Amino acid sequence: MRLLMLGLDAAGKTSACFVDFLRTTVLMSSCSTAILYKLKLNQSVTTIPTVGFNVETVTYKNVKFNVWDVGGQDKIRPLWRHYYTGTQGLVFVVDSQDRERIDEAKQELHRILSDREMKDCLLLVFANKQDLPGAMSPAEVTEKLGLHRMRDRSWYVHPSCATTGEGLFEGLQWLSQNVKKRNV
Amino acid sequence: MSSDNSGDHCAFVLLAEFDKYEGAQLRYQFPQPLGVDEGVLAMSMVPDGAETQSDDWTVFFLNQTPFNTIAPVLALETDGGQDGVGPEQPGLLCVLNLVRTKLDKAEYRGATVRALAICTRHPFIQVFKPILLMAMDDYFSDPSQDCLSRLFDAINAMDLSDAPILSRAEKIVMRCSDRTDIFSEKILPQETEATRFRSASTAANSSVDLSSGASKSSRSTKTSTDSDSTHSSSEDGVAVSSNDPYRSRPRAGTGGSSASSSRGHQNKPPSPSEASFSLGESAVWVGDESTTEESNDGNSVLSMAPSGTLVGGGSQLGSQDKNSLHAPSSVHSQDTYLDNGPTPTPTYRHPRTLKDTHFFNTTIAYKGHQLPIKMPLSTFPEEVGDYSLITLIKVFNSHQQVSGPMHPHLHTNGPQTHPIILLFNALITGKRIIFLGHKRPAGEVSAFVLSACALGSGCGVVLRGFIERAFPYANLQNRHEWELLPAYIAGVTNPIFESSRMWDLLLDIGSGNVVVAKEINTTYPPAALPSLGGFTLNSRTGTLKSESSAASEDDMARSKDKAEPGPRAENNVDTLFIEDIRSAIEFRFGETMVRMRFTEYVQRFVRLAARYEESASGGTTNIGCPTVAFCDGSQGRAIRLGSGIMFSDDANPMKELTANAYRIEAWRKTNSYRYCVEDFNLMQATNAIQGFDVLHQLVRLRHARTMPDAEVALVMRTLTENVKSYEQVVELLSYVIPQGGGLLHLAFGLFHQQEFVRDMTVELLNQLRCYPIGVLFLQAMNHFHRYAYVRQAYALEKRLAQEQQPTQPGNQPPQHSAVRMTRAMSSSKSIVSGFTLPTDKATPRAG
Repeated sequence: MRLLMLGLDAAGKTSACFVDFLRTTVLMSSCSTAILYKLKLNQSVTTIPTVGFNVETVTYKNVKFNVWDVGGQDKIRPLWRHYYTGTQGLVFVVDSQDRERIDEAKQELHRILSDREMKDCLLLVFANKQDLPGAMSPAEVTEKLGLHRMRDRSWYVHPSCATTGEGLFEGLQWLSQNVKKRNV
Repeated sequence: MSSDNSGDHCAFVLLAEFDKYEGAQLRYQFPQPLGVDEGVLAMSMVPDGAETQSDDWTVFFLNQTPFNTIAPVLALETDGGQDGVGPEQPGLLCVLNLVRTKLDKAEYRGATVRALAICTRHPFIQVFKPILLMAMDDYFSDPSQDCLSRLFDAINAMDLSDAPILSRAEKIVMRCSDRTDIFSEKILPQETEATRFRSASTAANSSVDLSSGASKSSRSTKTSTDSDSTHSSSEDGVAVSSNDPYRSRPRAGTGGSSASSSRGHQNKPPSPSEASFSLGESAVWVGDESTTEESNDGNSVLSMAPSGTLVGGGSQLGSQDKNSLHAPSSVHSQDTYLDNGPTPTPTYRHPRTLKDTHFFNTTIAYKGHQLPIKMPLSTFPEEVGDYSLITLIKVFNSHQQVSGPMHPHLHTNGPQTHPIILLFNALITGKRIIFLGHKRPAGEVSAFVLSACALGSGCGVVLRGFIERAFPYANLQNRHEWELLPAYIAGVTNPIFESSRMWDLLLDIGSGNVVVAKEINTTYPPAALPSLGGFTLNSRTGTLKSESSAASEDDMARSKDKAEPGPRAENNVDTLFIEDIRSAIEFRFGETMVRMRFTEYVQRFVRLAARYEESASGGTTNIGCPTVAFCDGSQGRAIRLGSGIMFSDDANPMKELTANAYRIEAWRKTNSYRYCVEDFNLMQATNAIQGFDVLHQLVRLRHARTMPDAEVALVMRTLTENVKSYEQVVELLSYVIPQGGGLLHLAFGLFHQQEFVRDMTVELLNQLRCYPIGVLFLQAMNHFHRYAYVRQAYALEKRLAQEQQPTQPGNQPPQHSAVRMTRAMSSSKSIVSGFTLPTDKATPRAG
């Protein structure tokens, strides 16, 4: 399963990615790389900003996830589209503490999902950085991202903390179940 | 190559940074903006995964496509026309980029990623790596635009004006030679003039050499015959009384040689042709390999003179010869050299003289440091950076790692096609090629692309048109500019390209896997081939002998193969070639050797293609000499030399042509073919040796199993008549690469049964000997051949002298000698029947 993990820069994407059937793109927050390596190695990595991308294979419950973690900086977001083809799941990482940029995150998310290539993919949102004070709750994130208006898509918002790994595997669990369901 | 005036080495300096919020950003462009999309530049400078390498290099080119063509506001003062292209097509700019990641806890998110790049026209970008590293340190300690301007000024102040500009043939000769003193005559004088301070030290060196030489000779005296050895003269050891202007420089080397050269100076007017021997004086010289080693200490050719040895092996033998021949020369010869095996004698090396003439040494002054720069002198434009074919071959080494469908353009040997051949085929037939190096440094990927370009071009010598479509570091940001090209060679680190369908051949440098695109047969539908059946091979080509890259023993194996007509098994010229290369690498032959073999391979491919064109089009080719067999002048036809490619036996040509037909057809539709046609026409017009196919003759001499005497005679005569000037000599030598036996096969003429051939061979070798480079090649001959040459040359001189008694020994101008030689030959009854040699045809030597 190919997952694409996307998120704004510094959302924690790198920490978050781990899926093997899925190409996950982590968008929008700097945590995705942290998530990726938490999933892959079960250890926290120093999260130097990702130049370009990371890609790792993560196996969870017999599902191999191929997780692509793509840098989220402003200038390189246009490159995200190069990763869409063949992606079965999008893991979108949001920095729950960054209220200022949640709207920016929303716009990017909708832009991604409007792409033809992403029409059928699953959406997993990690409301990351739950450990930080003043973090938005998953419900609030759902609301702010306008997910309720998405009718034709399976989506799931899960709280996470890339540094401790909390919530990450639950996210994968959801992905693997839903991918299997679809494959059946 | 670009003009070597200072000021033209670096066109731009760029600096990019990875911004935590914005991504890769171009910070500075100095001295002015390039007029290229900044995002594209920045992304090429900050490669994917840069944060995982502390230092990485990327290479990319500008002015290849409309997207990356620079449009600076102020026109560059340098015209881009060095490549012979018009102003509308500016010359390629090569960007060498250093990217550095510095972990820094104080920084937000813990690291700074910066990239510094220079844009240059020089293909030898590797020489700029040290200064880029320094400038990068500089920038990290003081991030400002001043740093860029300092770098810009420092590089442009580099002085290459004294670097000799070598001709194509000279470059080929140089690159094939291991000798560190090759063409020293072209370099040293300029250096001494130019670098004032150095000339002093040179003089000092020569005195050092003198003393060392002296001590050496005294030592040697003990081992060899006593008195004679120091004042031995030689017909056997003959001084290269070379009279070229460089001879008199102070570095002439060991005592003996300087003595001989100064002596020669008095006696002879300074014309190069005089370097040939003069009667009564020291006659012919030939050094020996031990001196070859010796000459590593920079003494150049001249230092061989005193070695005076041809016989080698034992000093005793050498001195006996001297005694018996009683040559009246007064050259100081040091028999030492006789004793030296091929082992180098490091004692006499002096650091200053150790310089390798393959490089021009200069410096860049940067912030109070003098950074040494070793500029390679034999680089062709298709060879960028310090590439390695060996690495390429080692990584892609098994046909079992090739997957995907077969295509006639690529699989010239069926499923057994070696990946390197597959790559070569993809290169010449203009396929879209990607080198993928996931988690590898971008610099490594770039190096693979540059190596592939060199591979396709025959190391820059044979074909062109690869660098112009090379994207050594390509990425998502600029994918639109290269993926849509009809053909490209790109290096990427992002495995996302694997799933894109925009390539034909993907080579994974990590695993060594090679994938042919699934769609290849729809992208390039295999076209019907023009019928080759029409040509009458045997009647037209008559003698078809081996011009294969394989040695002649392989011919035997091949003719055995013929018995079992496997579908494609006969196309094993490629297989044998790769086997050969593989064992060469195994036996640790160096990169030079491998490069030469590939040059040879590509050269043969072009000749094969020329042959194919003749068959397909009914007799004409645009890229090679027509295929003609030697005609001995019987049956009323004019006697003439053969030309074109030679095959190993009569059955092979058709098979080989058929096996190669697809890739040749595909190649003929590419740019590289068009350049090849241009280059061939240009070379036909400008080659120093005109009027016959030199390579064909040499291949005949080397590989033909039997050669009619008339042909040998005609070949040797034609060579002797046409190889006189310096340019002609170098051109001939560029065809006889040292690993192919050097002069060996020409020197066999010394043992031909016909006196005429022997005399002609002597004369040809004499002509080579007029120039230091020819002397180097003569020295590389084995002792037996050298001795035969010296003996015969001396005998010939003597004979001629007897014929013309009244000549004064010392002042015999060589022109006369040539005339006499020719007369002698025509008067001696040895001329091959079938043609006569007009005596008046002996043209004066070109000087």
